[in-house]
Amino acid sequence: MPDTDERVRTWMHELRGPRLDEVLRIRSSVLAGMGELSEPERRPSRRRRATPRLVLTVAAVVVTALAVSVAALAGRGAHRTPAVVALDATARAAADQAYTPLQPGQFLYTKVVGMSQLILSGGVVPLDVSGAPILGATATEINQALREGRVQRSPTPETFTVLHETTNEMWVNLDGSGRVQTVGCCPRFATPDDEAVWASSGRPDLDSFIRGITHDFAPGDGPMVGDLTLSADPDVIGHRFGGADGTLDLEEVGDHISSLLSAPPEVRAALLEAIARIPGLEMVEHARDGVGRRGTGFVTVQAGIETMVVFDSSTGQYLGSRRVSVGTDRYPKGTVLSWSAVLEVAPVAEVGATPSR
Amino acid sequence: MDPAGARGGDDDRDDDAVDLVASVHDPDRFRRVFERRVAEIFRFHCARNGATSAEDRTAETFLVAYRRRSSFDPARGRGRAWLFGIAWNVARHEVRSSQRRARVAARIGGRRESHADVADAVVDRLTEQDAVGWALARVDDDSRDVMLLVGGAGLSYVDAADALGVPVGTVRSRMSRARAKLRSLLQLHDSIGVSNERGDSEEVFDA
Repeated sequence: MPDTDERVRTWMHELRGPRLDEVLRIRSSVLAGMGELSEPERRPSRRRRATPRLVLTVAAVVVTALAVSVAALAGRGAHRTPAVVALDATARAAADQAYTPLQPGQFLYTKVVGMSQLILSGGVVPLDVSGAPILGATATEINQALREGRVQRSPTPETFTVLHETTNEMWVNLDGSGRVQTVGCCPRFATPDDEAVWASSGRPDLDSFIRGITHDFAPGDGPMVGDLTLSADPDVIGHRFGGADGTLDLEEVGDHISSLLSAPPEVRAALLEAIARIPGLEMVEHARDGVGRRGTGFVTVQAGIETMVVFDSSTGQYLGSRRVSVGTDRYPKGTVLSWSAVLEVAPVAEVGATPSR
Repeated sequence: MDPAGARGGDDDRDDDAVDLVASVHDPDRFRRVFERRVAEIFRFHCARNGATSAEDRTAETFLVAYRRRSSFDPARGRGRAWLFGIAWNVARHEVRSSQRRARVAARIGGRRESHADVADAVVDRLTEQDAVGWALARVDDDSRDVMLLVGGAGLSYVDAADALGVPVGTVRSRMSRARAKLRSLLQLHDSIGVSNERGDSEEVFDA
């Protein structure tokens, strides 16, 4: 082989290959694209043909709901920001989609991939109601776990942050029974400082904190019991997912919104109205979710962390969320702290089943 | 491996082709192609257009491949060559898009359109300190592409011809020209490197 060929080959082989996080993002993009290309149910014409009467009925209900929504927003004065206007448009798009309610006995299956932030905080690890470590605990979850005593001792008295990939699958029945199955992998430190704290704490095994869990819920016990039957009232939704004053926290929306993915269009429209009430909400016209799908983003910034939820502009379907530092003491600007992308939502016959392609 | 050989590749088996054909009815089989080839497709994109957005171009390559997998015909070439052909097209398209953007930016900014600007941008993306990167950035597209596929990725002439959609004879003649150009550029770079070691000039790079 001529010398030039050999030099080019050596040069190319010495170029860096994709890092693990790059491979995971590439894989997620490809899998998401494969899912969309393989998903015949995404063809709207087919679905509309299947249930024309239902669509008309739902559309009538939703048009009424939206009229109330827009009137309510307009009634609050001249504060219809571009984000609110876009949310109305998104709500209309969502309302225009065909809807088939979950049948008794069926389970709503959702598959969400993403990256989560696990904060090993102040010597404790937050536990969920089942006693399992909460993967990617948010500050809110940590505080709630502390209040309720759902914590275990962390191997370190100091706080450090680990980012890790997650795949969450959920089966939820109308009666609240179902299963949550989480698989975590590939931990890495958010910053070099986090790695230094971890090292000085005796290098505890990170995999033990992100190991997957599978938990089955009996009727009435599921974490989302009632979510599938919420009324189409933004106040109800605000109090269900928001703070004491009923104001939503966009981060909470991102965490819990998948439970509303199969809700009737009018409930989703009410959710969007509740989102529109979040103070300081801004719109990102050409946003991308964690796997690169384009949509309309809605953003808030709190304590130096920008939280964005992304909706498909044409269907109003929720795509995913992401949290990025815009500059805090702890995380440099641009540090992606978490993201999630909803890859599949469909009714299935039993727990453990996945939609047939 | 002799690059001029007939059907080259990792070995005689063409696992990519088997999986691509099977993936038409079993999409999960496409994942095997992805896992097997993602690193070298990423490197190809880094080598051709630079590391910026190589992630996006790699994802786009596999998405296009997935979309077109039913058109893959194992009788007409190896799976790996077909995949590199898609990667090459994705990379070419990105450069054309960036050239269009540069033209638009030039008009908006009142600047005169300059091909040199685009070439400089490509150069900037490559590793300037690296002799091979420096030389590849200074040859024409045809020479660079054939050298990256045959010299860099190790495709046979036949496979490179499949990837580029040109006759084997064209690959052969392009490789001959590419080797000659690269050889003289590398000699130039090496001589500049000696000059630099004596401390007399980075200006030579900018000339």
